[in-house]
Amino acid sequence: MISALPPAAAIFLAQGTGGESRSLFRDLFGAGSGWGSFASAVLGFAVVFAVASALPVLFTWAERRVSGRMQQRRGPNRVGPFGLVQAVADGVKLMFKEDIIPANAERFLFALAPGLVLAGMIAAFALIPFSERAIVVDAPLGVYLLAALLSLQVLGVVMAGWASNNKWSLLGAMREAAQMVSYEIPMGICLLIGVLSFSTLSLREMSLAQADGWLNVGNWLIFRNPLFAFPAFVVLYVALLANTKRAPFDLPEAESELVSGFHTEYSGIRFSFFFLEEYASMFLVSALAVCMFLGGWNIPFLPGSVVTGSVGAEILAALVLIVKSFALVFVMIWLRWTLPRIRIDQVMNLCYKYLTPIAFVCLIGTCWWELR
Amino acid sequence: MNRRDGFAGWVRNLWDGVFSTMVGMGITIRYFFTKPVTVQFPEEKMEVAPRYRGIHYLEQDLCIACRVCEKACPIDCIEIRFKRHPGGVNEWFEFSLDYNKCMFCELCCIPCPKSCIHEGREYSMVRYDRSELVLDLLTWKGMREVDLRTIKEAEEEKKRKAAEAAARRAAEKAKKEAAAKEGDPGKPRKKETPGKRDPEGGGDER
Amino acid sequence: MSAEILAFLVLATATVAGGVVTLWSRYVVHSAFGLMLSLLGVAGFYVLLGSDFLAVTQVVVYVGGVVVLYLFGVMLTPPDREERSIRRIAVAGIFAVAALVVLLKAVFGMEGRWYGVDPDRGPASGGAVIREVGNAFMDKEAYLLPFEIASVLLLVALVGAVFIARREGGRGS
Ligand code: SF4
Ligand code: SF4
Repeated sequence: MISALPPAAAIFLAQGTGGESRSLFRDLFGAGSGWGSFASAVLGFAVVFAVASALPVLFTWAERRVSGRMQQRRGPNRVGPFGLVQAVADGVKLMFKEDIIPANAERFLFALAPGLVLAGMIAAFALIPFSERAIVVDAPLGVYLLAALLSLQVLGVVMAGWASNNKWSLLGAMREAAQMVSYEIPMGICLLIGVLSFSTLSLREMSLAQADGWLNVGNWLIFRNPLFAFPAFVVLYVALLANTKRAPFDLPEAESELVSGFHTEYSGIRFSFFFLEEYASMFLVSALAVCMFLGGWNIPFLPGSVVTGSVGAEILAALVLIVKSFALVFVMIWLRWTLPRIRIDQVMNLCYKYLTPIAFVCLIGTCWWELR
Repeated sequence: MNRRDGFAGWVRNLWDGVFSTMVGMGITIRYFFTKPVTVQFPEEKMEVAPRYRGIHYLEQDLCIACRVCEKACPIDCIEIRFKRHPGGVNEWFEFSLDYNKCMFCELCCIPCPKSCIHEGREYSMVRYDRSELVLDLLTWKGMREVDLRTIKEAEEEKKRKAAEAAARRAAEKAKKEAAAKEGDPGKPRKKETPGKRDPEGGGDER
Repeated sequence: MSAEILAFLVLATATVAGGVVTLWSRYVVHSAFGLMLSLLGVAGFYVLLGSDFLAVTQVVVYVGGVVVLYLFGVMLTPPDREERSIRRIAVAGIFAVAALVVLLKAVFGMEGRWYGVDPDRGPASGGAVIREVGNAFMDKEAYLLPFEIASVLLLVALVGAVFIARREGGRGS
């Protein structure tokens, strides 16, 4: 139960920072009254939580199928058609597993940590604009708030590592802290590039600004400013990979050296929280990159007006965004099964010697490009 | 990593990193589009080598229940129970092979005089219990229609022979008596009992 | 009871509880987590006051940055035996009292404007406030000089950190 508190709190925070802007659930309940926004926060939380917990079901399946095919195996194919229900079966199994708290663990922090890890991710989900109106919270501070929420999960990881009272966990947590704090720099700068290109922080407005143009892709940031925004996109993608602890940056949970890193001691439903966070944030960061650099919900070769207006158009827009994000998620999986895990000093080298300078060059270049 | 200093080294490192990642991704995506090599075991099975020694099979109609295989087996896996009937017919009760013990050495197959026990190509023997691994190789138990007929024929034959013998004896007796009437009786001959011994080796000529 | 009052009570409890944990915990790590709770509570206050930019900045800078660095530092430093010596407590107490005096003076100097949103300006949320903040930073009349001084300070800190790391660890890889 304790684990569920932080996500709830985070979504209220996100809702609170929504300010006067419009959003799906605010329209429903009326923005003015306090209880109305409370109700909309509850509903938003429910929707976001449902989406965020449904995605991992798909992604674990995809990961296992893709990795299987890349290793000339088949992957799970027993439960349901193409093994699609495998993840559901695994989820049920996880729920019924014994929930173990080690004798020497800090019970309270141990219970709190998974929720804290999940909190930022869940709340950040509310900020992703699936279409012009299908957005739980359209915060004017969009990207900034999203970066803040993403930076929250490192605390949960450190807490988990420390509370487990296990050397592997602690080492994993330390690595995570070092990695996250470092990679926030190139990530932040690359997000800044998007922000100053569109001179808005709202992801929704960014997506809107990328409509139309040549073949309806001309206004996508990576095409509008190919010289600087494309490298920035790559840098952002790498930084986000590190942020989600995906291979080759999975040092915090490096199976072969740290057993399972910061969640070594976790089992059952608490473990599934970490699991959920990892896979849902794969989608989250992909959607973030799509909204900023790959034109959000806009479809190539079709005019921007196709995806605005009616409810059907908005559903189409949401599907487009989801397809684009899935493509990026696929690249994540692809990378994971291509690259070996890199050493911690290489991680730091990559961040400080390569990504950060490149990001700065792109930032200055973008300034010049926009003022040109 | 070899020493690469200065800006040129930085650029080369960057290029190497990006390029090698691309190459690696190319390889994985190529494999992604190849067919998986997995054999879906229970449904499909791997083709075994031509001389693979798997679970035995018995050509029961050839087997003469000579128990040579049973004796040849170094670990006594084989157990044969049968009953011999007239006409070379065997009534089968059991020809079991204990696969908990069998090591597939093929020693049972080599000495079989009829070459009727072989090691097959079947290798999957997953069972839930050890006791289920004692497999019976018989294709039928007891006797078949054919066997019953053979027995009947054999018995009729026996009866016929007995009758013949009886007739012969009677004739001989009559002859002897006639001779005795004529002169001294000869040395009495050993009595023949044709019903006591089974005709052997007749079973395979059905 | 309106939702705002309820939210205020929850946040106030969290903030105070976090502060108490920070002060009284025997474990430094617990203190850091208490601090995190307290800072998050303060961020919640900012939201409640309609200043979302400040709230998010609070989370980014203090929770996501400072507390993480505290944790990092705490885990890397050996325990200090003198932590609870009288001398330490006395020094800390003097600073605490001085800070409290300054704070109270500031609060009572605000003359009734310190509770709630400034009625003249309306809630300081939305994209407009970011623009205002940005302009203020770049304005010669406003905060350009402090902004530049702060950046130079950060640069000095950065260079200093590199220097210390170099001297102790020798040439890095
Ligand atoms: S294969 Fe070898 S071990 Fe198995 S039954 Fe025949 S003789 Fe015995
Ligand atoms: S050796 Fe051949 S003929 Fe003899 S009992 Fe065994 S299988 Fe039958």
